[in-house]
Amino acid sequence: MAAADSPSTALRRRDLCSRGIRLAGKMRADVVDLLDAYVEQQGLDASASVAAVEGVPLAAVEHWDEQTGTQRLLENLAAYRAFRALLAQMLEEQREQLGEADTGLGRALAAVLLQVSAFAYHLEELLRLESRGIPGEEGDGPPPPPHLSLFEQKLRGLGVLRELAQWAVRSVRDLRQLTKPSPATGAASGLAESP
Amino acid sequence: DSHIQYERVGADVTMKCGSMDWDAAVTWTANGTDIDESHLNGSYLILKNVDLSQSGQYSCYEGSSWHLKYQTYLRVGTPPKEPVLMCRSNNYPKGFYCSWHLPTPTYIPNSFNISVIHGTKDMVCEKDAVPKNRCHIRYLQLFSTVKYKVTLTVTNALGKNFTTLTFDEFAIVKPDPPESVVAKPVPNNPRRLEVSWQNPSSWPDPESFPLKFFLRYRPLILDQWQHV
Repeated sequence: MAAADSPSTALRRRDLCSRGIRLAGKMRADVVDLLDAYVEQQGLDASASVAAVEGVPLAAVEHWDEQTGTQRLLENLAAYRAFRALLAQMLEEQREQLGEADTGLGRALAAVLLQVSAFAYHLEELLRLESRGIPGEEGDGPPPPPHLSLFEQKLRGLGVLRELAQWAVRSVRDLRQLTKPSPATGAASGLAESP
Repeated sequence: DSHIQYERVGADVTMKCGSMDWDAAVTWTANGTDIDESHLNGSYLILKNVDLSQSGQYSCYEGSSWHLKYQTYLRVGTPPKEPVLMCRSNNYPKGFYCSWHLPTPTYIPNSFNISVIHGTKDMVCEKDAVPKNRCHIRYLQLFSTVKYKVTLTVTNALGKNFTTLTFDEFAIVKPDPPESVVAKPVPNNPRRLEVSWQNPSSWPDPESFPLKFFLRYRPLILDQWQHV
């Protein structure tokens, strides 16, 4: 039930959103750099088309402007949780390929993984503000990955990073939508529960 | 009965006078002016290495009766060269438009066909009434990593040609320039100017998709720009 926001709630929401926006902006810049390094190190063609890979959340969305605030938060959260698992897997695969050698790519991957986790946390906090139960994670984990060849792993990694770069752009837009005042209630747009 | 005949620049054109025999006595005219017999081979009209100025109405009359036996409209032109195509979104996130033109004229009518594919999905590009060489598309999805592929085919009576563009959703975003750019002097401060402007009216949602502006200025007497 969307009662009028208390001033502290509104303030906390705005604070979380603006920090989230900055975090997503930085995340996007880092992922784009990571993509360049990844393509080079894995010997891939940057313009290669990668078919949608199972388990990678697609940033593409229809009727984006009609989404409610809660929808945006839930979809973002599901996506970044999935990316958290996918990036951890990619790090694991890196270590398998190259042993324990500390590579620039490995460190960049780990840095992005950290940002993804931080962003997921911001989303959970925003959902808490809406007195929304946060969906549990246990059933949500990706299915155990099928055994992929080395090349398939590399293509998958490319797909993961590309979608993550798109998601980062979308997340900034989503968070901006959340901070827009709704005409009716004066609360942040779209966060009222549907009747 | 008259019809239209399209021929390439530089081609040799032979016109028959309808069903008249080769050895019939006929007179040919071009846009009403008699054509000299030196261009005739029997009753056939031979035009060698035609150029654009030879476009026009050609008529063939039976020698004695002056009955009109055949008439055609000759249009000399060229098959189309590869068209120039560009696509742009100046109203993100609503959609984008593509516009095209031919690098050189063909001098004969051309028809254009455009196809837009997003992944496996065919999209419809709605043609604008004005200008004619433009169509627009609404984005069905946003934030997609799947590329768009636009193919423009141009066809005329003498041939066809085409070109293809492939791009990402973000790559073609380019807003229109700012509007109502005004520079006003500041009272009592001759070394200052107050510059104001508006978001382009074509940009639908500057709150969700804010635009960034860059300003440079210089006094007329100096060549170097300064940046704000």
